[in-house]
Amino acid sequence: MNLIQITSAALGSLAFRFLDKDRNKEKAIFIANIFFLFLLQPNSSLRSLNVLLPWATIFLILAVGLGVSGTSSRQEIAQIALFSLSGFLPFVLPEFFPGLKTTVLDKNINQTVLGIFLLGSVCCIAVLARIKQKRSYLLFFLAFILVLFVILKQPAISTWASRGWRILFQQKGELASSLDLRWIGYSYIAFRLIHVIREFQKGRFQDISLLRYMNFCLFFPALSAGPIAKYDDFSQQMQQPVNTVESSLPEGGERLVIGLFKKFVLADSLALVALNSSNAGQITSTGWMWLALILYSLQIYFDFSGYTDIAIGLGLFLGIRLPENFDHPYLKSNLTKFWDSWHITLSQWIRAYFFNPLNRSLRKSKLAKSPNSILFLTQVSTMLVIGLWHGITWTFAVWGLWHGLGLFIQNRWSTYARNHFLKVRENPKLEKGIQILSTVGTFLYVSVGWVWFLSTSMPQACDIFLKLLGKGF
Amino acid sequence: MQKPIINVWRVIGKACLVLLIINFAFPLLSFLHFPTVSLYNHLYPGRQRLPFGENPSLSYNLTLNDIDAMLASHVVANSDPGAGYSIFVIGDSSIWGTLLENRDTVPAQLQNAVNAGKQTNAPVRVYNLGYPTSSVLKDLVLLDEAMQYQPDMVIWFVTLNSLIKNSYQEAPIVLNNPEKTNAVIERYGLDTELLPERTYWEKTFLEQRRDIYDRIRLQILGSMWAATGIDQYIPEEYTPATRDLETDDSYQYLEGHTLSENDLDLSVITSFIAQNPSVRVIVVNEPILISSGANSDLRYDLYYPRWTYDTYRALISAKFEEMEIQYIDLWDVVPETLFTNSAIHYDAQGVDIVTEKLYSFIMKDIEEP
Repeated sequence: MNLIQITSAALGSLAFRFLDKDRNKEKAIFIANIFFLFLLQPNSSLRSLNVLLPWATIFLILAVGLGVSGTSSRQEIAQIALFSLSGFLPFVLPEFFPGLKTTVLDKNINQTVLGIFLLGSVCCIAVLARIKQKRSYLLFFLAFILVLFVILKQPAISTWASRGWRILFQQKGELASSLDLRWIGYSYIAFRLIHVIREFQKGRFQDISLLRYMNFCLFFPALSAGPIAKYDDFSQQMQQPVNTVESSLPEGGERLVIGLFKKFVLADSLALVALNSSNAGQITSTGWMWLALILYSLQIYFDFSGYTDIAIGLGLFLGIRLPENFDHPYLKSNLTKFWDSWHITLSQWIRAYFFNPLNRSLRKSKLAKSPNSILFLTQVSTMLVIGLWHGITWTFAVWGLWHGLGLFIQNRWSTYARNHFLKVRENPKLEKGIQILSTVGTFLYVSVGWVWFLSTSMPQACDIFLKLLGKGF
Repeated sequence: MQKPIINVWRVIGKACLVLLIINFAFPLLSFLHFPTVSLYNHLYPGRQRLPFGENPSLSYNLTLNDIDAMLASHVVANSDPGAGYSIFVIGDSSIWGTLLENRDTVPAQLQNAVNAGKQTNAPVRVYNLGYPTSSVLKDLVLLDEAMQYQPDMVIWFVTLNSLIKNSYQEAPIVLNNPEKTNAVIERYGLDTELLPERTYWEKTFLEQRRDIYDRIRLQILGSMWAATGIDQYIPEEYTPATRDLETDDSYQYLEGHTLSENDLDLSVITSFIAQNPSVRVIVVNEPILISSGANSDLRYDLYYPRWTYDTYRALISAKFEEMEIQYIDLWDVVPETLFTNSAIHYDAQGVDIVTEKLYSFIMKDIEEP
């Protein structure tokens, strides 16, 4: 979101808070969610995609929703269809408010394609609404969400998909790029959908409101950068009157201002001088390389946590308290504490839907017997999944492994140290000193790990490591 | 403990009041000279050329309006007046070095030539004070500010576009610095209309926010300049200067095939020389692209019809001779093939040719300062 979009969202949220008085809270938020879904969708060089992807998001969420909502009435579905028309507003409003949409809107939409897509989706929804076998229905969508995820996150496959799309719509196939398929918020929406499906499968959701569930998946403050809320928390707050959220307005304002400062002042300024894949080859000394890397660590933190603050601030304006995502991660004294305070909701999600099930199944299986091997497998594979969530490439995979191995070694070392260095605890000064050294060490370990994260290829990452070691200039 | 209840309206009211006070007090704080406070020449090395760039994330450089901040970031701000012999080279983008790395610009190559050829032990430093857009008034505004560093010699590259009357209207750095420009116009008694000065409101914090932001960005970008030595994004491919020309042989506002001394701002140079007798000034007519493409019998290049440019050369040559101003005409020394993306931009090979000619001309001055 840019500054104008955030300001518009804040003003709109405040207006809603003062004018609506909770009468149509859920409907108003749904309309806003749809509006921002279309507004924030980046333009693509692929014809009609900037309209089709938001529609696809709505239909995908609706299709899963039909599987979990139980007894959704026709009236509710009709309401959702009607309010979804607000998705056309981003094509009209920027004419009156230039700057609302940062990129020039592609209005060259193939109306036949759009018509076929909408009609086909509506027919699908009508058919899906009649399916009674919820278990296989939801399993299908679980697989479908993951397949889509792989297509979007694996550069070679997304380039191939882009080429196919181009050929289908008579565009130049050779211009296809993995960047063509940018689907706003898909990563986070996929997490929310999997969360809802899994909780439904576990029998925790009996009957959920379709509109509330769609608001949960599409909640615009958290659409593009999280945090990943839990449906129960969201639903509970949605049912409360806005004004009952204690002191949420001043707190929301404070979080919004802090977020704007972090993102647009600190992160954007640091972006000018932080290490990136373009300037990595231009830096001419080891000292500057380290400094640029440290600045990148700070930039990515301020950028991400700034967006989270903005999301939490906007959420509070609307009477929804989103979960915290960061808790001073760079001030933590070991890697486990770092991951408990960095992108907290992602860690919690992965723990709930990957780490814990894997851990349980490994304990039951005959393959891994020793606790250490189970710990190793679960930690490394969990971090590998987190790495691959950012993109299915070697560099992200190695970044995940870097943290997985780091967590395992730190865990083993902590256990060893706890049993062998008891005297340290008796000396507060020494303990404090070790605490400071551990914090610096953890920060440096995380920072060096960012090299894998920011590099576009393995050779580039190796070049950066060589330069950090004073070689390769 | 119970949380204190916050009155939102009171917080907003106080914030607005503080903003208003800062906003309107800001112009009164100008005596503090914020722009001259710079990390360059202290934390980072000074820049070899003045800040200019449209794409900061690639060039690690930016265009800003604040001349004080620009000079404070330049290596010249670290010079020691009186220690050795200093040469300021001024002019337009051909001197600044569009599409040229720092080491390949005319001032940098001149420095190399001086280092290689000089017989004396006294240090000689050549400074690049060129800045894009062709205007002698723009040159003078920058030079006037840089005079605090006491140059011994000024090599002033000019061309018809920079000398034609009112060329400063194409120079944003002049238009955005009306106070400095008007001071220069008055001090040198130039025959140029004064620019409308900024109102109090235009000097307030809110109106100046972009300039303040640019000053901060200039300091931030210094670290990438120090880390990489890059201050310009040079693309691998660019649109070459036009060689095939239109049949039109008109030049700017001139009517009929007439160009007289009154159409030129020669007084900018002559006044500077008159008021700074201790500074040796050499005026150079900079090289231009002499096209061999279509209609090259009518025009030399996209900028200049033949008749206008020939008249201009004859006029300034006679004038500078009459006033005993050192003048060197290098208009045709660079072959057509060495020009890059404009009729005044040439590559490193072209720079070598210009430097060689220039060095042999000024060598005597450098050897016997």
